[in-house]
Amino acid sequence: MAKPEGEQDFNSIVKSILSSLLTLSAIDPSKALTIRELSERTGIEAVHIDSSIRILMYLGYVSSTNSESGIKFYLTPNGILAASSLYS
Amino acid sequence: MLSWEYPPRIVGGISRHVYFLSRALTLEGCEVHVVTLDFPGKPIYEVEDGVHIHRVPVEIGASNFYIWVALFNHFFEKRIGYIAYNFGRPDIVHSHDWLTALSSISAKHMLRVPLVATFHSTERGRSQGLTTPESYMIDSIEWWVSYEASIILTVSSHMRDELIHWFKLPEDKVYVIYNGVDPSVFDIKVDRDSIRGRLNVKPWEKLIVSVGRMSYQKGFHILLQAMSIVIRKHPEAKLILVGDGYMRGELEKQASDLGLSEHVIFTGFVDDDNLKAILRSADIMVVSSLYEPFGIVALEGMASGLPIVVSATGGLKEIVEHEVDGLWAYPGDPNSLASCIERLLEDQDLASKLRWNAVVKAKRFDWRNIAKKVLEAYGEAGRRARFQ
Repeated sequence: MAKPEGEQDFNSIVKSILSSLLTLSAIDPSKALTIRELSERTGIEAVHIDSSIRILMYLGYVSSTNSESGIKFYLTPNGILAASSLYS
Repeated sequence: MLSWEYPPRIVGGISRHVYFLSRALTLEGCEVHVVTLDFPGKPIYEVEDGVHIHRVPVEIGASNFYIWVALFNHFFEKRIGYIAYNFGRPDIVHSHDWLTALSSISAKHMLRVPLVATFHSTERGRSQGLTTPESYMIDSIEWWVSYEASIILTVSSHMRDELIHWFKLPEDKVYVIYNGVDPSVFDIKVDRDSIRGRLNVKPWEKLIVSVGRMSYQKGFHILLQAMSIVIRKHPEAKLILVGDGYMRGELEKQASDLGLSEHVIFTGFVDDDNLKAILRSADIMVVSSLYEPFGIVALEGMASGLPIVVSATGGLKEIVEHEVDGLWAYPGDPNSLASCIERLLEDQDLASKLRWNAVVKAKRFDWRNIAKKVLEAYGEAGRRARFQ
């Protein structure tokens, strides 16, 4: 399962965002976070979060909701289980 | 009973274990309160089949997983206080794995009740050694709860030996109580053709099923390698991987790279009804774990009447007897796994014998019997409890 270095980094960012949404309790629309908020709380650059979030939405792990401060993101039930599986 | 996962939050085997054990204990006359994490769409408190379920929200966000675990344990403690005040002081606190160790130890001392801890796995096993600072911390927490608990329960003799060796525990403190299965749940009639049609599996194709969390330790990457060998002789073989997890994307890519796209189906998470239907529609089950303290999915496959191939590791070796009610493959060896799968595809007499014996074996793992053994352990914990 060896991967090129760049791909490893991308996967680790995706996993990090998945994990952060879980530990920041972003598991329903009322607790959703903007990309900027996620960037501030994880230390990951917004541009990386933006591309990773798209992958997570494609996989069905993340959903979005509109708010006054912009589009916010939160884990779907499948996303909660996938994030939890990182540690089980 | 404290557990970070409980249906519909099903991450691994703990969820099912706590679900069925809590119900079986209720049938034995216990009042069981399960404290677990919240889940979208489920109430914070409900009584289901006599079991009181408290789903605790984590009100504060954490910067990383380990702080989050400490935080949710704090909210668990708060809920345990609520339960003690409103329902009365519990007779036993029962924790499951390290994730709820901290709140269970607090509850033991605050309420002065005996603590029983079930180890479903250990950090040393899951991570194949202690290689990171986080692993050392988890290992320390596991040791700490093994010290604080009056009785340790674990799910296989293999795990018992590991715990006694690693944590220097007295032998009479560690009880083996296997996971269970309710065979009647899997003894259902399904429209096999319709289910296989929905999965795009042709009537003449052989459906191999594997179920579990998509993490490295489950060895799905080994199973995909094995499938690339199997389809050379058996192009009619199709693999269905049921479950989800952080490795799913990598596994989908691996399947594509191996030219297996037409031979592998990824379902993602499925609910219990669909899982049972898939099991009843499959021809073979494979459990390819690299590390498996017990392997509850193996029991579910056996109860469903599937001939089974398992990695000869941990609890799987205790559940399945080689050549009697299943086949053992060498862990991490795709050639060995492929060889076992091919034997079952080619030898219908062998498959029938294993299937029949597996159904009979599964009946031994009845949750009511397991609950009785757990109650005996609770009684012993009460006699041994010390509060210092």
